[in-house]
Amino acid sequence: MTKLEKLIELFNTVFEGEIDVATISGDTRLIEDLSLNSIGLLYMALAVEENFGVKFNNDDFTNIRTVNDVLAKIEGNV
Amino acid sequence: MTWTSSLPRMGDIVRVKVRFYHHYGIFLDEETVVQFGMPDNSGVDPKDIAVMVTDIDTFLNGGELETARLSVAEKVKRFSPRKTKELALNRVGETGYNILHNNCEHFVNECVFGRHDSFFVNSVREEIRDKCNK
Repeated sequence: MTKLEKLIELFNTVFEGEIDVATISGDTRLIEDLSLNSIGLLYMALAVEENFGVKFNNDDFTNIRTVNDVLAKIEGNV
Repeated sequence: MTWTSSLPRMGDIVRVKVRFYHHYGIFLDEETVVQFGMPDNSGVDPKDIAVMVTDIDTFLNGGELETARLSVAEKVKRFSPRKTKELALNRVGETGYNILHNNCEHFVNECVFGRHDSFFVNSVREEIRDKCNK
């Protein structure tokens, strides 16, 4: 399973059908396309931290806009 | 810890509901609430969020005040109100806010119990772990 697939599976688990994971790609925007509000972003960040062993800092909440940005964070490129 | 509408005293943890979460502060008197950030930090660069002193009305921002009622065990463990006041005021101006790892709830728990903890973040983590472990 690729990291993108693993991330999509995580979104599906955490948000339990509230977002349409079938349409998620790397370019998918977290706020505009997935309609994540502040609490959704918090859940997303904690879920990624728990499952991928990364830690979100303040700049991440400003800079991470798309699924690709989350992947870059996971891969240590942010 | 439970929450009441009773009037706070010096060194008490106070909170106010803001949308889906609570904003926390240390009450010293009606003119002096020490808080990490404001009730609503939307649009504020996290680098600019600092420990600050405001009056109670600014802290509440139109919301309703809740005062922490500590359990017997928590009362035994907490610092004295005077020490809490000293700790809180000594940190005015401090930055480094992070909603997950260093938020307003962490701040009040450090000032009262010497413990870096956020019940809100911990409960969301637990919820996520439960979902992922199903």
